[in-house]
Amino acid sequence: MAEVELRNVGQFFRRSGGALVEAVADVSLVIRSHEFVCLIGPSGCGKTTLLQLVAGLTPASQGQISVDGAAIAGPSPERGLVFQRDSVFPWMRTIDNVSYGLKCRGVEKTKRIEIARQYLRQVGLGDVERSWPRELSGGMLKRVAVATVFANSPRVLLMDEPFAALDYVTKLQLHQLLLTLWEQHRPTVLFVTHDVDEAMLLADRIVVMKEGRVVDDRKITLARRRTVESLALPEAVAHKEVLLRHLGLGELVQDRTAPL
Amino acid sequence: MARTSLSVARLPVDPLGIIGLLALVALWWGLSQFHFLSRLALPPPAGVAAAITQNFFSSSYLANYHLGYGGLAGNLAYTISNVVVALAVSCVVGVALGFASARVELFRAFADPIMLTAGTIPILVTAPFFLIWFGTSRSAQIALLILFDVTIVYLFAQRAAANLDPTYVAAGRTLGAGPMRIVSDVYLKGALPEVFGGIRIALAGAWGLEAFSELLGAPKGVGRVIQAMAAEMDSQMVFAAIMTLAAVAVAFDVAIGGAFDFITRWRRRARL
Repeated sequence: MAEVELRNVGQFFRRSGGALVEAVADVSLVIRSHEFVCLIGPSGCGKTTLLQLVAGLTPASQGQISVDGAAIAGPSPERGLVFQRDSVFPWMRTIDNVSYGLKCRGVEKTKRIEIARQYLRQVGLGDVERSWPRELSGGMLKRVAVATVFANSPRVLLMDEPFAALDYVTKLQLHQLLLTLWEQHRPTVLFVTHDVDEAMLLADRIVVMKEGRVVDDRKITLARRRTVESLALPEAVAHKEVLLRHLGLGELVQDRTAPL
Repeated sequence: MARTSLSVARLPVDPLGIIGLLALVALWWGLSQFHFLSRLALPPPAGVAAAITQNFFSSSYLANYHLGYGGLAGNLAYTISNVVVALAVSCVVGVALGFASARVELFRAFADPIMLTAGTIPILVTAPFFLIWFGTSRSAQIALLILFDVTIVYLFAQRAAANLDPTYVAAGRTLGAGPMRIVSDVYLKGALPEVFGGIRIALAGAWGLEAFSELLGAPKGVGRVIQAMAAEMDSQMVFAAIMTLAAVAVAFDVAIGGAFDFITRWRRRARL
């Protein structure tokens, strides 16, 4: 069980000029156990700020965030985070990166290496465990980051546009890898993206943010694993049209009221 | 597939550097051989080499000047030990203060003016004060070197910790690393390349400063040898002392550079 609840969460900060900016405003949200929720919205809408609040990296200015009813107080390995930027420590070999969280938790060396190897094999990097991160490609580094977080067995998985910088093919491969790991371990997932197709492919639910507020929250009931065909079904297209409008891309959506 | 990383043997010394050094010796030999300068102003390389070999491990000649019976080696040992002790203390103090100032704004506001003022003090001018405060013991030379080294190491450590990508710190925290682990596994390891740069600069300047500070009443040391031999107009021995100190400084730099290179091998570029 890992139900995440956000109740009237707000986050403010002051610009250098002194103006108060409301990055997240009165967000209330419940993410049920094992649910895969994608948080989508235009740049600067507060998605990443909200994710960092749930990670405990920044304390919320107002409201409360809890996991299974317990208010969060700072970061915890129970809430693993995959960053948009490279977070793999360049000064540790691949295997040491993957086992680092276990080391922090005091897991004995033989055991943690065994667990790290298992996850490295699962993400297809069993043959590079002794490599330095500089010897790996961008896609491989993301696999290491995903393996590192899953090796720590988080109950909640937070992902901040993790595949945004990757090429199309690598991104699709990593989507499949992520879904495989999620299906096996079933953490509760909050995945930030601004890619509508990515959200449609992965999510049970898509939450839309605009100017710090939640403006839409929709269930995606398409059967899993989703394919190109399933994403072309009328239900999927209807969701996509609404999401594109939320992102200010209404001109890309066919006006059904206009004559063809 | 991982990018190719060929384990090409890395030379600890640049071959061009050796060629440059040989060219300098050749020029020196030419100038002295053809008497462009007097033997007093520029003794020949062979004479200097002979002075080194004859006075290296023991020297009654140097003992006459109250420089001990250990020859050049004994005086070098004194100089080296002062430089190493001062650098070790400066590394611990400079890195700790540098990291603290990068992380805690209040501490930075307090420490920066002190360290920057210390960095602007003309170090040679302060030397007589150290003699007054510490007397003729080796503490005076070590304290002077610490003042010089710690400022450099502090600034490099501060910059390295401040420049470290905050994503690494956040990643460590979300993986379960506590404050001590964040310092030892993230800040220290991530900042090492820049800190090592500062240590090498501090070490390079420390040799000459130590030799100078020994002139102010040290019981022995290479600086004292140079002073005593210069008073005797024995330029051959002055050159011998300078050459041995330079050789030690170069050897230390090569050894430390190699060690630092190994420790930070994770940042070495893959050679294709």
